[in-house]
Amino acid sequence: MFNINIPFYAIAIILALLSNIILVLLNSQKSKNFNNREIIGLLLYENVGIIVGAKILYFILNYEKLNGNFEFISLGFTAYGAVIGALVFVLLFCFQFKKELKETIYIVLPSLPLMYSISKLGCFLVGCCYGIEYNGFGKIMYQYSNETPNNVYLFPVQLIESILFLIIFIYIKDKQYKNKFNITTVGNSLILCGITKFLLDFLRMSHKNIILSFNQCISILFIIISIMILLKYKKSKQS
Amino acid sequence: MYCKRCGNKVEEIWKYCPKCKLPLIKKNIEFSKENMIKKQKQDKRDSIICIVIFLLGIFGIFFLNNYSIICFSISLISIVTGFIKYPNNIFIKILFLIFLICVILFGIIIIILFFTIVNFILTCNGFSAG
Repeated sequence: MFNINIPFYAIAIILALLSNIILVLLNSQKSKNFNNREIIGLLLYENVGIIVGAKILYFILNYEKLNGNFEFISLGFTAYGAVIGALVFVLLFCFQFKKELKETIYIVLPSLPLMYSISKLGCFLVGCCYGIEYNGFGKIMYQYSNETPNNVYLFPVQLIESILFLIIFIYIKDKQYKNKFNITTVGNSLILCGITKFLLDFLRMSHKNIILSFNQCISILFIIISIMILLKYKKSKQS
Repeated sequence: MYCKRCGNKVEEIWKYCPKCKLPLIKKNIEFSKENMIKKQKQDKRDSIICIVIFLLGIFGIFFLNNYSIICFSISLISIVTGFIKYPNNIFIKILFLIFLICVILFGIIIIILFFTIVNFILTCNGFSAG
């Protein structure tokens, strides 16, 4: 409006990280096994893991396009890279400071769907990860984006993804509120996240001419691991 | 009886150290004052090692451009370890605070300013589907 460029994507990333920090701080208050210093350390490890993981996976997937040039600031982000990076750093934290992994995951996990939902809003506002060509209800058109084909009606897959992950976050918070947040909730949420990403990836323009994308393969892996965790928990509960 | 982590005097009936919240199980309690003093000297030596590794990591971030991520991770791990394991060391507290402020400022300023100044607006330049 005033010829000012607003970095929507950057603002969405920062809001996502802030929401993660606030939620982890709130969740950790319920835990008696973390003192304030450990909570700060966990937050640092997790958020650095998110950023580093997101950028490293992006670099690996686009190695040839970047000619092996690793310039941290200009690299993009990948969602699964962020999750894997966070998991690696959280595991390192638990190993280093002898914390129970289950309890740490209970603190860290609930904020991840909300983070993803907010960051997808950033994608929606700038036009990346855009959907297939579509002329039905809710179609969107970008006119100034450098990432999408301009003046073409597209499916708002980023917005749908943001809403669905927000619903998953509400499901987790509901379980926490009712004190029913346990391994079953963790497993169910991971399965829901995996299925959502797997199905929505078919509605992206980048999914043309391929059977399964890299994200869909990782989603399948997440679903399998979650099912194994749930089965193991059920078995141990029965015995 | 003393808490092994922070050296605070504790009572047998307590379940957690009131200062650092360490669970007061047998392995986390020091019964002898001499052992406690010995441990504090060892902690002082270990915290100096943490500080040295941290400073080497910071040096690497600025002077070893190709390995800046690795150096940053090393600095992060060393300063957080020092911050959690040696809560009585003031120098580590100050270094940690400076590190935390720099990380936050770097995150906000670099992400926003960079995207604004070089006109990376309205795009998530370089973002692959995910």
